[in-house]
Amino acid sequence: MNKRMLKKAIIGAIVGTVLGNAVTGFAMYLKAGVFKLCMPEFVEMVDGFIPAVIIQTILSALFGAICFVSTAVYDIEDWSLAQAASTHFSIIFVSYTVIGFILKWITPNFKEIITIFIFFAIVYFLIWLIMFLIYRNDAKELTKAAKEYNEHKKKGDNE
Amino acid sequence: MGLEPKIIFETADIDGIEIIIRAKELTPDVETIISKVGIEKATMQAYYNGAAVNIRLDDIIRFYRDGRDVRAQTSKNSFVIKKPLYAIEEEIVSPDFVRVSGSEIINIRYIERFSFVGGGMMRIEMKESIVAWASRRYVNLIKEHLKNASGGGVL
Repeated sequence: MNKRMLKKAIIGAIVGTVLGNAVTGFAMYLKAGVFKLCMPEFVEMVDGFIPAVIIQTILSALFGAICFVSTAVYDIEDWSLAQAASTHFSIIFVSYTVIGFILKWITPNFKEIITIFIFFAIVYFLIWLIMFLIYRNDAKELTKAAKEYNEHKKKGDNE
Repeated sequence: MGLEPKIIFETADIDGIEIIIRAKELTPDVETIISKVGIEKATMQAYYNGAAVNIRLDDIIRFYRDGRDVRAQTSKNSFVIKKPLYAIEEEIVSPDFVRVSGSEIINIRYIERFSFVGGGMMRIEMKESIVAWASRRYVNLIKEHLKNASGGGVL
């Protein structure tokens, strides 16, 4: 794994850890009016709060690392933006679903899974759209900069 | 030209004349001085149908990898350059040339426009109906190059 990927993995792990625990706690607060770091069903499954927090932290870190490292697909030159975005989406959706089942963030309920799928798809479409607009704007800026450079050169040649 | 260069002469035990130009960065003004002193090689050795020829750098629209060869494309022909792309990049002092991907170096003077068509690369329409492709990874480097070479400018 090169330095850049390692850096992404570390940042992803930290972000994943913080968000995984914070979002779970916040979701529990909304659901039950009490801030709980882990889902009660998961705590019961692993027989204790401390093991539950440890496992949730590790899996959240892993999920975060996967999210960040898998952005490497956008660097594959032969792939279109749509290919890269859909691959990234698939990796994240599958990882989230597996880890979500383990940690009891989600239940094996068809409706719930479809809702999450649609939510992810909308988010990814927006990401694709934003990136497309950014790259298109980059192209306009580069064209303008190249024109300015050539005008500057013409002035210099005439001096 | 907006700079007052300091000229220092030193005797040295060398054959011929050696001229060293020092500046913070290679701006168009510095490039003008270099070209006026006539230091930079204005030509590059290339091969056409096996025969060695010298082609003017100004005539080169782009350098690109074509299989195992590196080629220089002008408006008239495509020539083989017997050097790797990284060596060409190091040899060319002029800011007219910028690396746009792992396999292409282009001459900015021949750029018509950039366009993003949704793929993994950015399309560069050059003069003489030539198309080059910039990697998304090189976009920021190209921006930086154009910014530095123009002395600030739009970027």
